[in-house]
Amino acid sequence: MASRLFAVPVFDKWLVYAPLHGVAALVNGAALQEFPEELRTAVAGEPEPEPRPREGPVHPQFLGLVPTRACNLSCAYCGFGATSHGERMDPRLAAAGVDWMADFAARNGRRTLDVHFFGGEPFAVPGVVDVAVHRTRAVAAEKGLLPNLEVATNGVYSEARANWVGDYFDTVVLSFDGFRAVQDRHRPAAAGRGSFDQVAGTARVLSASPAEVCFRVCVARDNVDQLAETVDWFSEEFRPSSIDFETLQPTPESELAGLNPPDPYTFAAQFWKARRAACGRGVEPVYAAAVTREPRISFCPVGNDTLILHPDGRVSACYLLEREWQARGLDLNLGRLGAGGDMELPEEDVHRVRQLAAGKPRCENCFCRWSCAGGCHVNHSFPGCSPAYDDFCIQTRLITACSLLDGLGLESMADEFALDQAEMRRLAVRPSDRLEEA
Amino acid sequence: MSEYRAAEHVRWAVETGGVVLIDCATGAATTLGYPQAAIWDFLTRGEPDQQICANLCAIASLTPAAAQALVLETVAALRDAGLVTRG
Repeated sequence: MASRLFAVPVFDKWLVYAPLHGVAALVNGAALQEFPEELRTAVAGEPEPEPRPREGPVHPQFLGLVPTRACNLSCAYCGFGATSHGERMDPRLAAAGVDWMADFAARNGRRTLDVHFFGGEPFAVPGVVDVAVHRTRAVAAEKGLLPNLEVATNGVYSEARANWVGDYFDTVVLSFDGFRAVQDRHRPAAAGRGSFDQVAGTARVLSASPAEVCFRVCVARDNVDQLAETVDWFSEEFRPSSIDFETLQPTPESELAGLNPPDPYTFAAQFWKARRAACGRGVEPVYAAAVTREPRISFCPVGNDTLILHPDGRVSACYLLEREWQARGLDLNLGRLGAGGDMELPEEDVHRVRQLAAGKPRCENCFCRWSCAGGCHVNHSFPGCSPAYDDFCIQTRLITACSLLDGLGLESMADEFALDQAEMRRLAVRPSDRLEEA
Repeated sequence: MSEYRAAEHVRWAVETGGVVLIDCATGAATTLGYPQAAIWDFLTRGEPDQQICANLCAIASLTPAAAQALVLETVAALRDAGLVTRG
């Protein structure tokens, strides 16, 4: 029980958090020191079971398709190795993947057939997407399932294509970093031309469409101070249902371009300000590592049985490049899909990838261990990573604490905390949040 | 086939199981399920004939000959209903 209770300092009080019980409380120091048993009793009851690696048959939430790694942009921080030309998925392979997922969904009593597209830029090979989308809708109709299509896209294509995307996709995750200067610096097209005008145009078209639109903002040192203004502008100009903020993951390309990740304290403070702006406008602000809705063991597809199909027929758990996992000593491949539709998912490979979600020593004593769940397995919580908190941990701990305070109705305290660098530092660097060590 | 376009008086909406076409001149609604809904999409976007048939092979698991026959049949039905016009 004790290891499932955490406490972190917030000004002169303690934020007590029992993630498996879904309970948080703000108490004073005396309560913590003099009545620890009473506190434990207060959160007693049947906790959620501790999240563990999956077992049994593969049970994917969705099928991911990577139609190509090619891309028509030359983003300064791109870690996907995108070029203007790249391997292209055979449409018959995409159709075979969709069929497999449809059979699985129907056999398991699902209501939806969920297919997500990643890249590169999926619309660099529009014909493959056309086929996969129509195959999904056709087979869903045949099996009495609702098609649920999602795409992560850069938005650089014609107005006609943008209209089509808005008509045929349920959710569109549009990479859009903000104002013109930022967008053009972060996400230039070939030959250094800016992409702002085209992406803003696509955002307008999508905003008028039935699709749910999510903007994904990459936050670097150069735009971290304008997140709230970006939210205001996005909300006035477009119709996003959510805005997802992700801090820049350094790559050799980003370093060459002089782009750096933001300071984690600054990011936490600015995200919090942006969150207030977004909530005031009915837009959901997202920092994916600080979602505390239910305990989880992984915050990404890895460990969740997601099947991501690549142009060469490989099926993996992650949409990042294979060479990036390999550089971390990881093998995230799960199997293969043949063009004839025969899916091979060897049990030992599935087991190996599932177990990855469990081994994160750095997270043992952190109050975010079942919400952040260690973040990205390739870039953050890879085997052999440093046991010390890094910038991602720090910003995640701060934002999670603010979110918990918000959930307790202590909005002004959360706001005050996010403005107080000294208080933030006191919380961020604590090596253990276990209640008994508070 | 690809010389056909949606008639000027026709509007359409993408629905879960296909496409609903509305003839604004008569008020009549026509529902196209799959795979005909895919043919409508490609036709209205001006895809070349060869591409429409190739896509249809993958979408509906048809042979090239069967795909071509289905496209011809669908376009003829749409033309007869006044939902597509040449040009």
